[in-house]
Amino acid sequence: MSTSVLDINGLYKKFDSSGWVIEDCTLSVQSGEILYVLGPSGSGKTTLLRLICGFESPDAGQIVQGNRIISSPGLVLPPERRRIGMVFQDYAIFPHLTVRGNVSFGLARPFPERVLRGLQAVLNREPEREQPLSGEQRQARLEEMFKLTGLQGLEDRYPHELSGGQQQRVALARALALRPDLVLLDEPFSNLDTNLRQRIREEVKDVLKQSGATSILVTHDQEEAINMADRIAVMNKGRLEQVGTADDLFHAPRSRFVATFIGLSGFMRGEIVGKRVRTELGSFALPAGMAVPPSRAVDVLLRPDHIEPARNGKGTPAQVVQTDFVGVQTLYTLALPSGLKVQALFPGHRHLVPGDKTSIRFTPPKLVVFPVE
Amino acid sequence: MRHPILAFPLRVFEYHRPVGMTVAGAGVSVLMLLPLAYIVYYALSAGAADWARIWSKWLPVLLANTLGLGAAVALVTLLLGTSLAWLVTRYEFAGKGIWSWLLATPLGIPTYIMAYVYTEMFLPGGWAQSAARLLGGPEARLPLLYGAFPAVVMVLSLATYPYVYLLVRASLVNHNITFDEAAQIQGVTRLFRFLRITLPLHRPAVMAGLFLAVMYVFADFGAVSMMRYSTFTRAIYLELAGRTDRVGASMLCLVLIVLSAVLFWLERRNRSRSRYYQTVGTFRPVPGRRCGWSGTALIWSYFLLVFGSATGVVIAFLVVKSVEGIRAAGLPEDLGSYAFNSLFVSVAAASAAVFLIVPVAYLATRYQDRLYQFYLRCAYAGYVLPGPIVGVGVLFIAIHLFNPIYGTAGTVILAYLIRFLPEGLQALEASFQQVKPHLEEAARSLGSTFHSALLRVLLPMIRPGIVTGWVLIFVSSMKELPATLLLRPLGFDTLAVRIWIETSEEYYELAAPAALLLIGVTFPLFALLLARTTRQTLP
Repeated sequence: MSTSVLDINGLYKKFDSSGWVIEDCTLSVQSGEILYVLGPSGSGKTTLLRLICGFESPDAGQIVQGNRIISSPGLVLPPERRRIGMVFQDYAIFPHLTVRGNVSFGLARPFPERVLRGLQAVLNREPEREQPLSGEQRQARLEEMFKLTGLQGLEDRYPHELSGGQQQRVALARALALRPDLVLLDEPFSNLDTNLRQRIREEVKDVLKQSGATSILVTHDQEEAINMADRIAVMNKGRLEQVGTADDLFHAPRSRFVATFIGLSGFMRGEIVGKRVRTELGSFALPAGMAVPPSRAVDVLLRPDHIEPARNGKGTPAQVVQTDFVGVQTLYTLALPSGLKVQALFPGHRHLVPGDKTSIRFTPPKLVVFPVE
Repeated sequence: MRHPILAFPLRVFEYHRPVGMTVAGAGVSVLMLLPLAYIVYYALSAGAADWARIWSKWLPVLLANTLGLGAAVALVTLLLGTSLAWLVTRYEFAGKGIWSWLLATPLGIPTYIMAYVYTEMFLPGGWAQSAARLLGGPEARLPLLYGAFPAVVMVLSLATYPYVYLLVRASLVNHNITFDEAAQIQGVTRLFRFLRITLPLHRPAVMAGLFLAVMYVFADFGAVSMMRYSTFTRAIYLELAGRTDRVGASMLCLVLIVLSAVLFWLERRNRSRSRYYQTVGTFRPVPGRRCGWSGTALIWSYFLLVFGSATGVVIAFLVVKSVEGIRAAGLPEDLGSYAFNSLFVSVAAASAAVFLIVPVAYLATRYQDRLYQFYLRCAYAGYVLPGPIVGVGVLFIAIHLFNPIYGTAGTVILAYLIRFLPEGLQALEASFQQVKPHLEEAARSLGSTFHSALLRVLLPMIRPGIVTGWVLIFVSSMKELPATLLLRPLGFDTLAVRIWIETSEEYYELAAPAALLLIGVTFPLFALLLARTTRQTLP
């Protein structure tokens, strides 16, 4: 199952002298997976997608699809000859064509274009990107796409007659109709209403999984990535900070950026003594196999879910500063005796109000420490 | 429990039509429809003998001439306008900004002046004949332009290609490259992206430009008359001038109105289809291709050729001939009074028109009301009324309905009002649409009455639209020829009329100062409007 569809090796890209937009990017996309590229705006996510499509050429490194290099400095296979589909952020549905015209755009080629493409394939000594379909096959493929994306009954509408969610399904159907090896979706849900987003996200996930497509999605919304992704690649300032499952990123972040970008987090100063870290909330064993950071002072990652109320007052005393109700749980901001403020998630039935005194315990499943900056 | 007592009588807020404006709008509708009604009435009162006479004397020739001219001009403006727009939007070269403006300037030159300059240049001793002798020896001779189909096509194409150029340029500038990328990722190569994406997306703009150019050709009187080429407008004028009854003229008018109306209807249909062709979401323009010096030289020489033969040669000719004429005989007498006459009727017409337009535009954009949509349609009827037809219509009104204005400048003002009201209306309708009704509602919620909300919120916001509308009507009125010719009181000559008289009496050099003065007054205003639209369409 896990053969790689696309390999990106040591990719670099810059547009002007202001620095790398993509810096030393290495990533392998496995067949059938939903991979998310997650990062704040301006981190180079969209540039990475455009490099994969072939709209930009890299300054160093290469992109390999299957067994051939499709992008390397100065040699870029044009987008139309890649087996890659794309759903644009604004969908880019052709306004002059109906839903059917849009979805069949790449399948139904006018006669002269078909001839020229056949000729081109011979000249380039490469198989045509997709086998020309007969009329019936094309019809069957279209029906399949309409059914998959739930567009039946809307085939003859024009884009301006569709809702935002329907437009997105058209864009998705259009991208999938050619059965690409890889589908790219650029911020696919950012143009939708918040209350629609949840539902449409599930629909898109179903469609992607059913069609067996391999896909890369780009977002800045960590909650969306955590819900949808098989794997997440966290990107910051043009660099891939970490690639892994949501669980990996949450429990074993490899950088401060990942630790703060995913989930709620805080830091607490600690001191390394032998194989243990001594902190205000107690002394903890360093994770096995972890190299001791060169500095003696370290920052320990605090997740609100890992701070518990201490039974019979044995923990560290803390005073409640602020309470925020978040569903079944309550997020407390607590001040420690040193003045450090930490956040803790307690079950909602413990009714503490600002000013109350309590005591807490820190119980991390696996300690995460970073050298002091 | 006690019932609460009403402290003051409650008035249920209900939808009602603003009375003053509704009456004003009705007045505008009647005004716009009257000339049309008179013409149709007279044309339909004609007997079979009249139709037979008109048919044998005019119709086959006129239909062939007018439609043929329209088709030929459409073809040439299509080639000129789209190629210029493509070069200006898709390539980067030195002087791009100034060229994109210069190429639109022929619109600021009245076509009859362009026709006059070309006719004169091809007369014996004219510039073109001298140039031919210089190149081809003393025996070389170019034909005269009178009645020459290719010459009429060329002059009208040079005058009207900017319609196509401006609309296509605006459309191309707004082309979102994401559509090309989406097609590319679907495996479509460059040539077919052009055929399957670019062409269909911009076809509505091309069509709209062509419609404008052809409408202009149908309505043009001055250029075809000066070049002695018979289309409907010239025939209407000749028919009126040569006969005492006006039945023949109104019959020709009716046929021309039907032609224009068909064209107008086609254009509206085209536009309503293209309304949804706008891009949504994030807009990324198409990056222009950089030109080396050879590419720049090629583009410059093409632009120079087009601009030179449209605006350049006309201005140069008028300046040289005016200087020569003034040196020889001094400033023509009465030039000042002609200019004053032109300014007087044009200012009066533009100011009156703006007053009449505001209620119509307001009602049509603020209320979903059939009556007000009907007002709007009536007001736009002026678009299918070329100058000579308005002239005939106003003549009927002055004779039969409102005699006091017969033989006064009032008829001229009324004709301008009817003829150019739609141009101003279009400008104002657009600016009304840009102001959201919420703003007036906010003013009402802060205690303003209906009228004070209009005065304090809406009017200040639509002021640019009012100025644009006024300037449009003023400039068009300054240039108007056929209606002025038909309606002016004895001895009341405008600049346009003066140019016409001098050229028809073949004192060509005497027309130059008046033409130069006319262009001198209208061109800066026109340039101002052009710069405004350029800023709106070029990012």
